[in-house]
Amino acid sequence: MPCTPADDWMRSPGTVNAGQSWSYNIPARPGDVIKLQARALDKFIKRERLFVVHDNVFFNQHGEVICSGRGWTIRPQ
Amino acid sequence: MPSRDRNSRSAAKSIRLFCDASLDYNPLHLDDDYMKGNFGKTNFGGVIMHGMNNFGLISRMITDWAYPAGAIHRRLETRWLKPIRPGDTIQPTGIVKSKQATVISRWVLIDVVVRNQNNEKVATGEGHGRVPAEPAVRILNLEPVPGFGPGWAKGPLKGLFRLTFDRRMA
Repeated sequence: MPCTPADDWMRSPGTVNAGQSWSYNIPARPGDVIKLQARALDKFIKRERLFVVHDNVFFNQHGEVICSGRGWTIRPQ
Repeated sequence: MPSRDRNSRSAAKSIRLFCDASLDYNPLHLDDDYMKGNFGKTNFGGVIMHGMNNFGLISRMITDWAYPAGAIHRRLETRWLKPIRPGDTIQPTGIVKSKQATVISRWVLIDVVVRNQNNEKVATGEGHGRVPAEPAVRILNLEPVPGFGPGWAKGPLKGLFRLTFDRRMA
């Protein structure tokens, strides 16, 4: 499973995890090939901090959703 | 929900292990000098633990409880209230706050609180477990009885059918 490259903006140094919600649909098993689809849904300023809303969905080789999550990060401005 | 010793975690060693396990080498978790700087209005003063490390600990508490009970871990939502630093020891607890039965499952909602060694709340969350409902019997075959109605005609089943089933294994 290729990892998000270290120079991707999603991995910018100083990013703080503010909270998340993960749902697990079906089990991932040995031998499965996992694909992550991740995107930023929103950026907003709250209490003078830059928040980003993340949407992450993991698929197996059959295109089935294994798990999905919504996350919030606080980022360097 | 019973808490076990394996559910409490001391942060110092865990932070380094989690960097390698997750490939997340953000300076927040590694570089004390970097962490002397300000994050907006927040100053952490030193490295802090990955949120997902805490998340993993909570997940394990839930699965340790759920799997032996025949339940599965369906959802976990968390909010981080205070940073966790090297030297801290944290322990999650879960309290079942509601249960509901539907046709397909029994659902359990769990209130999660994580506290540090000073009994300060460092995280809160909500977990969601599901106990799948097993049918009492397994249908092996369903076939129309010849001469007793139209059988598999379009629309609702009409006539006489023969149902073969066995007891479902637990």
